[in-house]
Amino acid sequence: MDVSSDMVNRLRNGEMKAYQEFVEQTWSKSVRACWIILGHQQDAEEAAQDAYVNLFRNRSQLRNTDRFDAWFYRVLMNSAKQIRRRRRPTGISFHDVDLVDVSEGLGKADLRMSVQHAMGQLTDEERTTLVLTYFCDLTDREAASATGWHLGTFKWRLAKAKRHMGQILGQEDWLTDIAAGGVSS
Amino acid sequence: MTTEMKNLLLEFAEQCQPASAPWDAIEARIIADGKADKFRWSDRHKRLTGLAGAAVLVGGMYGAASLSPVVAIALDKAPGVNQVYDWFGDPGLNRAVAFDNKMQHTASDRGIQFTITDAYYDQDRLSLQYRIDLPDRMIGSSPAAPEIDCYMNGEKLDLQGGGACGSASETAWQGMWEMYPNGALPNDFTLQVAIHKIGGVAGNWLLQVPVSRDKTQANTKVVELNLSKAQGDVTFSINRVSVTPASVIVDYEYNWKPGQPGGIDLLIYDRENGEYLRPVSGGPVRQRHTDGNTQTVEAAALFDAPKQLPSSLYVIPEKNSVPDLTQNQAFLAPLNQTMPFTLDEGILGQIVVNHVDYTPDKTVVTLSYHGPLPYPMFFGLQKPNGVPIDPLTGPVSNGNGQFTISYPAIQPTDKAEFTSAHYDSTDFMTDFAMQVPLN
Repeated sequence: MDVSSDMVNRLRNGEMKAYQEFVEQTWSKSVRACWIILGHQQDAEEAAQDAYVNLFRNRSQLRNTDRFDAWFYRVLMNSAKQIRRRRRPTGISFHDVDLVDVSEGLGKADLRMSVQHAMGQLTDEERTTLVLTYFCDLTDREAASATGWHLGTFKWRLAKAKRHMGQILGQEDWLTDIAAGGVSS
Repeated sequence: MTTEMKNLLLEFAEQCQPASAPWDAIEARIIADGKADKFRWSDRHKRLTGLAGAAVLVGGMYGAASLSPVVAIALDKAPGVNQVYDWFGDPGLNRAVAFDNKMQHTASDRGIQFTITDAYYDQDRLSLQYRIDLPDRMIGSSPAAPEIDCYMNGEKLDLQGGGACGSASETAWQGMWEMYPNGALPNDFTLQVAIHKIGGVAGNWLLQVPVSRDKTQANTKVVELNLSKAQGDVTFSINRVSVTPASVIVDYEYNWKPGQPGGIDLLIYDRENGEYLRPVSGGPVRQRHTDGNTQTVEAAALFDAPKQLPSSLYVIPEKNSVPDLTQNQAFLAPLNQTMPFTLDEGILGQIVVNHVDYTPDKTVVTLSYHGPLPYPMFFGLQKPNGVPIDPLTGPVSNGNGQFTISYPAIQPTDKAEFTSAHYDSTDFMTDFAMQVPLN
């Protein structure tokens, strides 16, 4: 997330114009991060909205402006967690919708279906580790902090998620990578 | 692998195509959220206090007929000279005092002197401050604002008006009369004032008062609008916003189910000056039209003026929390139980019932109230068959949040019950929030 220190200071000062810029700049990424975890677009948008409101409410708690990314993702993950607790019993999700677009060619469509299937097999916590590490580009420490888990717990869940993904997607090199202790840092 | 996984997730996530960022909704929630923390407990407290404390709205088209005990309490705290506007519960007028026209127009009859000392006149309202000097005696046992009729060129003006009055000394009262014209009035005219009763004394006090918008006009902005939002079966529209040195008046409209309690209030945020505009009780009253199962409410809301005229105002409708004892938070508590006991009214505070004294001619309930209202407004007493028992007097303040209420004689065996309710927070309708341009 490319947020300047000036912007972070303006956010911390509660400047509404800065919030508007920040929301418009980061909205898609925030929703998509939540979507990967929650599987429902409506839930994801709701979680993202909650996160921005919570960000404003808790802005005075941001002590270290250099760690804004991790802090914001923590707020975002907490919002997703809250939404997950009151998740709708029915709804459209990537778990049960065919994401294949035949115009893309079958190879890509196959891969997308595989990822969809793999994601559906992961727990929410495992998907969260993948999102924070690979989608939000946080380090293990930052991601562990964002989830509120111990670093060891985070690494363990990430390793599990990668193993599951590797198994489901049939990519042996990932398994090799995991066996070598290759969690990102 | 890291790159592969990253690309995989990025590509996968592209399946989700969010709509554009709903900044309006987020901003509305942020504002409402902040308001929930600050406004609800502070400004709302003032607003409700203002409502009772101002005692306002005697006669006129408001339809209020008598002063409540609390109003009487408020009136006992007499306004000092130059504090009338504040005391009246309308600090906007107090801040706009520089726009007043000072004057001394006096009429005398029956030994009573009625003097108009200040007139404030803007696009929406006309306020008069007055002083009543008595010869050597009080008029009646409790003060009451005299009813004032207003004319222009001998024609009675179509105004909604009301006022309040309190004793300034043993022989003087001070008060104000607030009027909202129904229709256009000229910028300058001679207001003809007629009063036929002051206290319990009938007479004729006739005055001619020149009023002018000269001072206020340059600091007034009125915009006619046609902003509307609909969702589900609710449509909400803002038709007009008027910003004057003393106040902001928003004319709005919404549909409401006939018979449904409550209504829609407004929350106004001035983003440029970073402040919520404080709602003020009173203000003009609009209309309700019922057509089958739909009631259209034309409403107007009165607020303090912003510090400076902003280029826009942010309006968030809010379902008001007019208590409805038929809702499921309502509860009953037996009158005859071990004292003290507490009635928890949620955001409206707590009532602690300390004593019930049963005498042959009346039953007196002594209680303390801790909450945002000037007195415990929203509870009652009823018979086991659900018939309400109206108080004889009260709640009368004994100071320090202590009140007594006298009811007709009830016996412990009558099994009377308190009716109350636990009130939750009010509902901000963030989906209906609107930015109102004032340019």
